[in-house]
Amino acid sequence: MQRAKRFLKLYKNQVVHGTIILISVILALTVIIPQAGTQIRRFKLMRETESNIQQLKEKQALLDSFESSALDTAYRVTVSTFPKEKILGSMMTGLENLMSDYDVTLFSFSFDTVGSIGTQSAIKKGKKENTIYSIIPITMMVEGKLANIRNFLESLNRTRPLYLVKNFDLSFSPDDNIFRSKLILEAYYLPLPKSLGSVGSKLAPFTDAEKSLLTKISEFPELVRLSGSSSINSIPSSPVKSDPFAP
Amino acid sequence: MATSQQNINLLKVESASSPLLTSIFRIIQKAAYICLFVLIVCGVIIGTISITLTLREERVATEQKNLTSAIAAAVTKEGMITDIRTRLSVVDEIIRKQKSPLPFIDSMTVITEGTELTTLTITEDNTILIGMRLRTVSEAQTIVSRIMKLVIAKTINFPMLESFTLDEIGGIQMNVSFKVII
Repeated sequence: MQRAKRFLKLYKNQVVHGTIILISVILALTVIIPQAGTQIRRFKLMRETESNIQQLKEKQALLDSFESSALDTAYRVTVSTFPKEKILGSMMTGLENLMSDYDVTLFSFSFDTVGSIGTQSAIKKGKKENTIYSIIPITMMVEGKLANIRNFLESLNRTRPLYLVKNFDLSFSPDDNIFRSKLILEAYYLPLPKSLGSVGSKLAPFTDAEKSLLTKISEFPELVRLSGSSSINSIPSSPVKSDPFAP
Repeated sequence: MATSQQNINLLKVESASSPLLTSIFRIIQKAAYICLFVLIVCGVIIGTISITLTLREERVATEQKNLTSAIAAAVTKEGMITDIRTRLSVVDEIIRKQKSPLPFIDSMTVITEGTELTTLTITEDNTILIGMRLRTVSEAQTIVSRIMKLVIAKTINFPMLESFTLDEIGGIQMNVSFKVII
């Protein structure tokens, strides 16, 4: 004890300086360095948040740039081209109307996939990137003059809703001088999205290709008149299930 | 003159240090001051940064909240844009897949123009089989020249004369096949 007291008395200044160094080191290790790390993380998070805000600003500006009426029209055009639900009756009526326009007579007509009216599960699916759409195969037999069948077939590629002529054959009956054609068509539908994405998800303006495609399909004659339900207010903010048999 | 033993201090208050020890002590002293200075400066800097970041965070949070609610209010619009884009991509793919049936019908019409068509079949590999009833051989020559013109124009290829029959009443039954180039 005596020796310790003597040592402190002798090296008072050095002990004070040593203590300052020790406390400084302890404070640096326990407070300054962790705090510096925390501030750096906060700063990075802040930069990230500011970048998100910039994206949100751009998204809001983009959303503001879309005129509601123009968007509503574009939506109507795309939904009438690629329906959001099975409109089998309307499709059949539309095709009949088109045939009558070209003086072609319907001989037979069938929707091919068994259960396609009742269940989603029986429907053939097509896939484009992450989009899975439903295919409704149609087989129909038509008859008429060659020129009329020709024009009818050509017009099938330019209608709303959209059809794909998968296969066709043509036969001629010399007795009654009539051409018959068996067509295998594909009709499509794509239900409305079940979720609309998050607020932070990116949104890009329509590309020139998309705009020109939109203009192109808007010129196609509309075989099936859609009701007012395709207006801007029909987009649900929650999932929809229009088909009661859908899984 | 008597001196009290208690007042006599034979030890020096400060012991004489070696020059090495003195310089070490001086270094320790300097290091202590530097440590203290660095500690204070770092503390002030970190404190300032912390206060600035807190204020900025509050401002950014408010801005983000406002923007988020504004975008959330336009969720229907965003949904429409997304849905339009999705449908357009699929429509584009289907339009690319569409093939016009016109090359088949047009090439067949060109060849059989003015003749009596008896049979017509289009097979899956784009081959057309046509049966025609002709009155004279020169009509048959016309048909052949029409086929050759279409071959030269690269509208059709692989033309084949499947059969050429002269029947008892003087008519000609001619069957030809060809492939349509799409």
